[in-house]
Amino acid sequence: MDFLKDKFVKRVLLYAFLVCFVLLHIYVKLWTKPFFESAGNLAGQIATPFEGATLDNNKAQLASVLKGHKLVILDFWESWCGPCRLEMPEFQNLYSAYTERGVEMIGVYNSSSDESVKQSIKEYSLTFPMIHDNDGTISKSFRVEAVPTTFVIGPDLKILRSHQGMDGGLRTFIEAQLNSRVHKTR
Amino acid sequence: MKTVLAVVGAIVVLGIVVVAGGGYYVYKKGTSAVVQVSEKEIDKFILTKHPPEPVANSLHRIVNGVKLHPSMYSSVLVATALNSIQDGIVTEDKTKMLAEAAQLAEQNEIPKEQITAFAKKYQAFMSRRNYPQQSQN
Repeated sequence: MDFLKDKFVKRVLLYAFLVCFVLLHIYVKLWTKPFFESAGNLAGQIATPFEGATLDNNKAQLASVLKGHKLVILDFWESWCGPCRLEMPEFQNLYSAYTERGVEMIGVYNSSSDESVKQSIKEYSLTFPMIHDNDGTISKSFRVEAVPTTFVIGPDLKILRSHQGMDGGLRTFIEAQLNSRVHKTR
Repeated sequence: MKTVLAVVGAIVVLGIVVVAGGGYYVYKKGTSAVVQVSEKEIDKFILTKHPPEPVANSLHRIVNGVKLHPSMYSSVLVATALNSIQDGIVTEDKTKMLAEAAQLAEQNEIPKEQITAFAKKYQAFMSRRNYPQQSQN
């Protein structure tokens, strides 16, 4: 590491660092947004209100669901998707544990058949509502690229969390959100 | 003189950074292009050829797996799937291969041994039919 003591080498590294810093700054400011903003990375943004029909042909509107709840968990999944099915028992547990504390959960599927979804509901004894996003409008508005993708939406339609892939930290997040809301109302 | 050399040195270091960054960008863009093309082709295949549900499900799972965990190995899986459906014919072997590919694609990280075993087993479905390279000795 003796070469680092050389003034010349120090000067080279300093110039290179400065130029890299300036270029990186320009890159981050100008181009990173469209490059990295994908895969449902919408935390902090306002959710687009949607309307859909549940499996039992009831109307479900995000806005009206939010009126009566503190948080809404939106789970984009498909019956053919292994990771989605793997996390279903945990989602059902979450739904059962937090419904009374004002948390609603909605499952949204697009390319699965109603029959296969009904089969999964039976298999995992799911009790939360499912919406068939026939034309993919809901998935597009939430920029869902792959399933499972999970969103947590606050009463003001603000997306508090978005996660692509299996969401191991959802329970902790919901608990923290509910606790902070309790503190705020006191 | 030393300042000039320092500037040249800085440009060289910068060049290396730009090439590395560019490589990463091309890799990212390339992966997303592979995914887009695969999704389009697979959707077309499912809509026009109406394959049995297990095959359609496996194809969905492979594309979804690549989107969730993009890597060189998952690209191999989706490329093999695409190659196998080019002729539009569904066989028992293909159904089995697609199911195995789907299972691999859904893993967070595909182990090298598993992808090598997959490639050896199903090299007939891969575009490079001589993969893995056979020794000529």
